Amino acid sequence: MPREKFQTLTEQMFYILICLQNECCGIDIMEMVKKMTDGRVNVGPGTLYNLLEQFNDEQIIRFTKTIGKKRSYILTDKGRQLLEKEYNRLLQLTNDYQKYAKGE
Amino acid sequence: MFGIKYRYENIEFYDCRKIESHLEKMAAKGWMIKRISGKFYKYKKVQPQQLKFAVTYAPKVSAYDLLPTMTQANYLEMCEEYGWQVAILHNQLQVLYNPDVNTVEIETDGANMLDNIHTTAKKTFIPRTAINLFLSVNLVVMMILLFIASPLEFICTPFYFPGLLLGCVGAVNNTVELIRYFKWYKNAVVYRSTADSLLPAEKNGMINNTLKTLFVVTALWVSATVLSGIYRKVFIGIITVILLTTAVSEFLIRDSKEMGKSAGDVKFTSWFFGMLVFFIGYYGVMTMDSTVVEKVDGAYVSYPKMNWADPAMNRFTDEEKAYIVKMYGDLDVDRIRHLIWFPAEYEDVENRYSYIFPLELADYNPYVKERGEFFYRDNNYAVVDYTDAKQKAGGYTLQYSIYYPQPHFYQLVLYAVKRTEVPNAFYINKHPEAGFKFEETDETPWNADRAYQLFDYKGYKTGVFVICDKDRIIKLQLDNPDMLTDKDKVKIADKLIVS
Repeated sequence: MPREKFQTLTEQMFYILICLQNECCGIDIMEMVKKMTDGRVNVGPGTLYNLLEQFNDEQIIRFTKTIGKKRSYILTDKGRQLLEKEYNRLLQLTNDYQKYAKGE
Repeated sequence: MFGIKYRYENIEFYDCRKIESHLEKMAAKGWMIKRISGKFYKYKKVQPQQLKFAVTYAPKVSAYDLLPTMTQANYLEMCEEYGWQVAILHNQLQVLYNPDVNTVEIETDGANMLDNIHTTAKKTFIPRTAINLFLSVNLVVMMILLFIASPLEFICTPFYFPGLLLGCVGAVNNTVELIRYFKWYKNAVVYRSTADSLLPAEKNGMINNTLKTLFVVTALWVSATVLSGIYRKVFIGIITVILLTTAVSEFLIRDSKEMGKSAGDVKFTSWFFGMLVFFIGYYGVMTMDSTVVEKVDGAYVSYPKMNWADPAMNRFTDEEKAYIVKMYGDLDVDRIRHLIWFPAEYEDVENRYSYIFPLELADYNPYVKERGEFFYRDNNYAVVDYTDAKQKAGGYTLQYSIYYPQPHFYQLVLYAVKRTEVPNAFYINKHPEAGFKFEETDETPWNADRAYQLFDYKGYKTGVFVICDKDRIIKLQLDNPDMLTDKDKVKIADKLIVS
């Protein structure tokens, strides 16, 4: 079954939204994701650009300012809810794993 | 030559990773990609270098955007921040390269890549292939209808059979292309839910490659036959227009690379409008005032105005008019219009496949000398009823048809030519003993390979002969079989066999 758009988030989407809790631009996001995950997750510039466009279209983030060629964004309330929802989903997954897979 | 190399790369447009690795190999060998048009790649000689390539699609971009759109420009800027440089921007296709081979990929989300590829395919590949499929099927249907209407014309006309083959191969090829794409897309959608990368395309199988090769071969075959036939000028005209528009657009946009846009986009528009102008012009000329109707001493004659360069050649001379009136003076207007057909250029005469020829007209020297030949014909193979003309002219007429079969259809044409003389089923049912049949003649006239004469069901000779030469089959129809005197033979040989 194909994944419905933004019903669940990929790792890259999740980390991008975490970064955008504070205002930042694309380059910053790429650096932050790499740092946060010790290089495990990489976001390519093309992917990042497309995701930012899509988030912006869905009003998950909003454009704030342009400095030189750098465009900055920040999470909207809708985006915060989405991130929170995804966190709860992942938490639920983890709890279920602990409960049923490890039998705690 | 000149450090430029063109190659046909059998890689599907949706197999981005394979394209990337291929371009990396070529760069390592010193060939930098310059243009990708379908599966035709253009490379330029450079210093061998290790580069990392990225092939992506921007579905929102239009083929008619001469400059990168704002969205695309922003996208490229972001890529440039990470050292990516533009190699090609062609319609929706974006090819970038990075000297740092360890850098992060441009696209790290397979799902996003798949969406972009599919949206692009819906705008380009799918409609284009569907149109090609429709045109191929259309060609097949057209050829089948032509075959039903006139099997002889079909098998004697050089480009009809390869045309039919081209249509069939094209239809199968385009269907296979569409099925392969949708199969890949279906699997890729499933694949992306389990892995964040793009599903590689299936390797081109033998059937696929054979179909493509067949398509090219038949297309070349059609081109070769058209080039040798009466449509040569039209074909050369089309090719010239394509080449000219390509050359002009290359010249006009030679500096536009700095905008990050390849020549292909402008070229497409130039080509499109060039072809549009050409076809409007062509059909305009062909349909405007292309038939001349003249009233000559109470009789109407009509003929197509085919020689545009020299309109005088399209007119009857006074002598010709007098002769036509003598022959057809009292025939009604429609018949005259139907019968008289002038090939105004000698090439048309050379390339005829069949015609019917009143022998008297062959003696009409002024016209024969000036224009090669003067003949009447009704399309290619229909037999014209000359009864009236014969009565007017007061002599016997010779009717003949010449068929120029393709070598591989020779026996088939011979069979068909002989078959047309066999009485219809109704007659045969009524007279089961009846059997018009061709029998090989003892003496072969005019040094032909072989000849047949038709005998009726009573075993009497008829005036119908089939004469087989190496490259043509001639069917003669004389008023009376016994009229073929030595003098006639010489006369016919002069006009028919030797000419």
